Amino acid sequence: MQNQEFYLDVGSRIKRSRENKCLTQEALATLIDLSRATLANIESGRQKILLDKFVAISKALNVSIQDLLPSAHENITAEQINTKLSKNISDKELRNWIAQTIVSSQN
Amino acid sequence: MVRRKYIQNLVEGLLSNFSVSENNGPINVKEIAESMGVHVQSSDTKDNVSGFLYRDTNTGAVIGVNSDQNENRQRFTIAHELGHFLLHEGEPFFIDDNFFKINLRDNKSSKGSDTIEIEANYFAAELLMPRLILEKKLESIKNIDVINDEENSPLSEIATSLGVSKQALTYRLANLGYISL
Repeated sequence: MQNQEFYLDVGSRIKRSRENKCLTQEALATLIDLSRATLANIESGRQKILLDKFVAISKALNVSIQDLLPSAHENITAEQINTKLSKNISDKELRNWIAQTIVSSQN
Repeated sequence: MVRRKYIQNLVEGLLSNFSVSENNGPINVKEIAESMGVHVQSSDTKDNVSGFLYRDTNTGAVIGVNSDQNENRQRFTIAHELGHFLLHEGEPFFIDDNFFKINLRDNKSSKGSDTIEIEANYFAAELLMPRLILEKKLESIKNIDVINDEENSPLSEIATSLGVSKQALTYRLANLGYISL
């Protein structure tokens, strides 16, 4: 992923999360000790966020850091997904269908 | 609490990015989902399963749709799962089934699973049957007759033009206060 695209993606994830929690830019900026303008720049991908502020946002919004980051795009196999779902879905046929569908969607 | 006003505004914002008008036919939900970076994949399985939303850092978000169900139902499934994607981000997995629902819930979540499903359904209804489009389509109809179940009844025609079931449309019209059930 290109550098600029990466920050655009991170920014839009932060924005979506913030809006989902019904917070204004002003309110979130205050919580993490940034100016509203800086947060606006981060959300639009114009400014690169510092790691401590990134963690602070994740905490303030109660969203996992993973959810705020673009996918690492590692290949995942149907078997891995199947294992992951095995705790929650006992129906093997259903689990296989889900895993196969997810893998097909990656191509 | 079901965030109706929030969902209404969210969908309105989404639709404003697409050219949606009353003559355009059914809303292209797949295109909308894909424009947000969600992979939409259809594939057939047993008919009691409608679809799922799965997300992890390796795959990104994936909506799976059972291609064995009818076209309208598939569109509803995509809309419903997209609702989960946009509204319920803490949850890594949803599967929607005709009889039961399994969510691998993050226990930090503050919402009950009923609320979550109601929100996703409400999102889907807003997206597939936009209120402004309904308003325009209903202008020419004097009496909304929900009992008339002929193929060419005005309600059936609206349902067909939006790619939704007549039942879904009836429920939506009741929700918007056009009719009472």
